Amino acid sequence: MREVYIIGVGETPFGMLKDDFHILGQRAVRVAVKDAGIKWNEIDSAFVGNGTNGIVTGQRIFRDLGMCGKLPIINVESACSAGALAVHSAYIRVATGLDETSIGVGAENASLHREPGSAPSPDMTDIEGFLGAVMVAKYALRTQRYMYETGATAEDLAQVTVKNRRHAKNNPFAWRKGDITVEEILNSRLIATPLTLEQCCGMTDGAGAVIVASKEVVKRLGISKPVKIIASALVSGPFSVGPKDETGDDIITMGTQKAYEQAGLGPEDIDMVECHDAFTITELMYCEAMGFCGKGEGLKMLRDGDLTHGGKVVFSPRGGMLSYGHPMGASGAAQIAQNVKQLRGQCKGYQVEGAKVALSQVTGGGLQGTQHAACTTHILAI
Amino acid sequence: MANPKNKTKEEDITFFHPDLLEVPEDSPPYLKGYKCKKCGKIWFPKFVPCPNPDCWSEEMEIVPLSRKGKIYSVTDVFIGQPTMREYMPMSMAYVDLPEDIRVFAQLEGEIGSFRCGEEVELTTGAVRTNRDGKPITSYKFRKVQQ
Repeated sequence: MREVYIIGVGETPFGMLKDDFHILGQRAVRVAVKDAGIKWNEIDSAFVGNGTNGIVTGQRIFRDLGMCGKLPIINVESACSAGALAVHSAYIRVATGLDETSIGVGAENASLHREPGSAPSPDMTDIEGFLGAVMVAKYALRTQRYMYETGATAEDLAQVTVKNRRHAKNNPFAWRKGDITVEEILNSRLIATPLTLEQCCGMTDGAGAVIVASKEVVKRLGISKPVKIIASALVSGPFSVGPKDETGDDIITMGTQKAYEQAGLGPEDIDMVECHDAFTITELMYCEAMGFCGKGEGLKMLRDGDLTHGGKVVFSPRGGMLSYGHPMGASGAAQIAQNVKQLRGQCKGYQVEGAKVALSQVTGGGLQGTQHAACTTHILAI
Repeated sequence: MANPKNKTKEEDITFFHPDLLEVPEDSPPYLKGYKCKKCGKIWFPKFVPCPNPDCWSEEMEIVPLSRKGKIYSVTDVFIGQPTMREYMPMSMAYVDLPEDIRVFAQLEGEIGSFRCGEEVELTTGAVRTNRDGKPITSYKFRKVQQ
């Protein structure tokens, strides 16, 4: 496998947006191409991740950019992991030598197409989906068990939102950001005990694009300090109909272990993480599942300030999904775009000082018997 | 694509699901496990072939699952899919059965009244509304009746 670098990234600000997914995707692509300093026709292939906006979503993005007919467009889907899967697929295409340059795009518009107030859910053909297991209910069940086993309180969980919104304060791409109190979080609308509205990511809209390239391209462009993809790991969720430890996360542990092996490093080497903080509980559970601390110790990390600037590892420096919201297909690509900017030192007002190694992780899909259907993990280094 | 006009002529289901739930007239309801005749593993819900990749046998026999189980975790849910809203809020839980099966289910009873580790028993009741606006009956769990 060849070395693969990221030469350009783009993202749109996230939020409830009036432009549909393909417009958002086009914007992210144009920013990424400009950022890379290449011409559109230097991109050999395109992968597009989307969750809910229909079929041939990639062609809908690239047609209006005049690029259809000029390169293969491959549409990929793994629910919430789709944007990261698009980048992973572009990575594979360059790593194997098939292409010199490829682009991974994640784009989604949920708000134009969803009935307001309807909670995302597994497909109706899934037995749990049929019985009402909306995603927030499944995560509330995990939260309740985590609290039962560790003694964590609702106030503790709310601190994750407080931290991530504070991180996002100066991030122009984040949606909900700035100061919020534990009280405001706990007094917001109850969704599924103990999760209140401000502990859940919003169903927002947005897009991200990531252009990957070979070392030869990096040399030709004269990039002196390129961001390198040192791991791009994809795993599917282990299946069993028996009891599982829902305070842990089997697929995330599998995915990060695979990524650590690829990168030849461990959690102690990671400076910052964008994780799938779709709910407050997930940042604590995933911090543990990724090996940043022992089982049940995520809360201590949070309380000790180890998950923020100046701590052991900065979790969600862009503000995470608790600030951005979570447009299914877009999040994974936007996380990577942000991590690249952090490693380049371009995040004024929310920069992780001295960040050299950044991890992003996003899971996708609810299926009975699995914790998630897919998990995509990337580790970038400069 | 199927013509939705034709689709609405067919009545939607009011019972979920004969393959999973047995409601005998003279005895309590029970869930049906699917035991692989080749490897012996019990599955729920119905899987054919056996999802054990070293097996893939299509020979499955129905075994009644225990009517009582333990709540692994429980939450009170206040938002739901559009066809469930009239039932909200409601308690939902993972219930562990002795056959090494975890079942996601709605609970019948007061919200806020269930706890992790509590024993519950199988019952039946409406779980959502169908396309025709009629309730769909399926399995639920409730506090063990004395």
